[in-house]
Amino acid sequence: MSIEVKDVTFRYAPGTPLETTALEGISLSINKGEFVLISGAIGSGKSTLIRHLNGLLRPSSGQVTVDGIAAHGKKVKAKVGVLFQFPHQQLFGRTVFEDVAFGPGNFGLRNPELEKHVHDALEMLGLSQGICPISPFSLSGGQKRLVAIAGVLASRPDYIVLDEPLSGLDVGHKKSLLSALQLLSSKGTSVVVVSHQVSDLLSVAQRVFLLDRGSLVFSGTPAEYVRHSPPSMPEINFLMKELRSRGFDVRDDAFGIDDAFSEITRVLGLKGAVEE
Amino acid sequence: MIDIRKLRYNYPDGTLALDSVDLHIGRGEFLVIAGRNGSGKSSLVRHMNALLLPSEGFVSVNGLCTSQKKHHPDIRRAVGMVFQEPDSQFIGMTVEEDIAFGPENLGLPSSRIRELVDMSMTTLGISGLRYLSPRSLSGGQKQKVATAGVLAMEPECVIFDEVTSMLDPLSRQEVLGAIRRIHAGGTTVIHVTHRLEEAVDADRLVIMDSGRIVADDLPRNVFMEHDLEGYGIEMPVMVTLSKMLARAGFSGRRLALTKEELLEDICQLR
Repeated sequence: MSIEVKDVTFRYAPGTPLETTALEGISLSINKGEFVLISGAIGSGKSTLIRHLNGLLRPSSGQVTVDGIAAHGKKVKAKVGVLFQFPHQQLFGRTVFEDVAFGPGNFGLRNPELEKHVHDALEMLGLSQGICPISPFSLSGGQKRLVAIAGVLASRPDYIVLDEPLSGLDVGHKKSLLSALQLLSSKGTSVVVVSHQVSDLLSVAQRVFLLDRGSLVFSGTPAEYVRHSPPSMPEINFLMKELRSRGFDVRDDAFGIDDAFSEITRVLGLKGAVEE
Repeated sequence: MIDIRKLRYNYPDGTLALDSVDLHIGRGEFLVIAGRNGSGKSSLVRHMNALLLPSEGFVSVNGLCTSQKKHHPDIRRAVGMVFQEPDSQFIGMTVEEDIAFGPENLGLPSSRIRELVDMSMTTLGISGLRYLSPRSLSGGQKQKVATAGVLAMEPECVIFDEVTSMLDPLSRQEVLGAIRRIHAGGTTVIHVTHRLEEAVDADRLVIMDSGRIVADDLPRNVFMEHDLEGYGIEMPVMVTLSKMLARAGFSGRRLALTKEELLEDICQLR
């Protein structure tokens, strides 16, 4: 059970003077239950790549399969749930319930299962059931985003793909979203997050893919990613790198604040290192 | 320049959005307003250019009270606002036309309009985009065009309402650089964000929670004296690390706000 991307190249406007290659010979696989981070600068092809995972775009050459089925097939739609970058633009229901229920309803789910799916999705994201009857448009920006994500979760897809889900979320919402995604992945749902907010995601992701101008330039664990010194590196890693360059013997694969803390206390010989 | 007293605001459905807010903003200040989603920050700044009017209390800009409709044109000319999603604000076919729209509406002579458009494009570093369609631009470029459009009206104060929240790190740095340049040029700047890293060099940091102001001080003091996690906002990562190190017996001479400060402190201890 996996998504397999094999030697995929994608060109916008092929055969015209405007032809641009957005993806070039990309091969990667996303396994069942895996938590994957796709990072890269704007225009690196991240969004184009994820549009291939549920068949919204078809490769110019190469192929994408989901559990062995071609990704543009109709059956794949229920397997891969995708949330795009401006999820509040995806909201349309008169009530939060209607909005979250739309996806699973469309896949043929009826009450009482439908209701259960909606409630479970809201609960997982830490949203109160009390918001079901209200209009999604009256919610705050962060809540709107979570409701849109709930709409994807409620269909219970095997693969969840989220484009920049953290932007605009405050710390509380961010934590509930990240823990919901971790829970899903531990239960066997694959989670693919596209983001440049790398610092929040390195501690939860199992694998990182880095795209640069349409090519896959790195694939590995978060620790390997940090050692690779990618362009979008969390500030903590810049600090660690600076410390190394000034002769402090700190690890080069430390990421996250706790790692940084224990490394700095260790090299400075602070006693607190043991207590904390 | 902006004076807010005992401001209370209820949404049309009756929910309380702002509760007894007092705030005085002086000319030339660089003020950051932070708070979790729904804490009232957007409602507060929308009172500063009369997009919202108080349910109780009052707001005045340059001594003009926002509840008097006849003052609205002057107030809105003095206080410009840039929003999170600039798309909805674009009017012109080209970047240049879009920026010229505001000053044209003020009925200025065309030579002056050209001056203002050039000046704001230079400040934002977007002269190269002049003939492009605003809709064809990246998120960061759009924010800069929207900002230039506001700047061309020569406001005394510009409010940035979460303009950086949808941007990638590089565009965010560029937009923040532009905001600092605008402030350095003497304009009062109010920057609404929930990333406190963006507040470290502000004159003042205001924290909102449940419609009230819960902190209003120099950023360094706010970081030292308040539990910001309780208000749903994350400390800048360097501040958290610096606090953790201080608890472990690290004797840096102050709370470090940035990577550079922390680095300096660590090197001095060696």
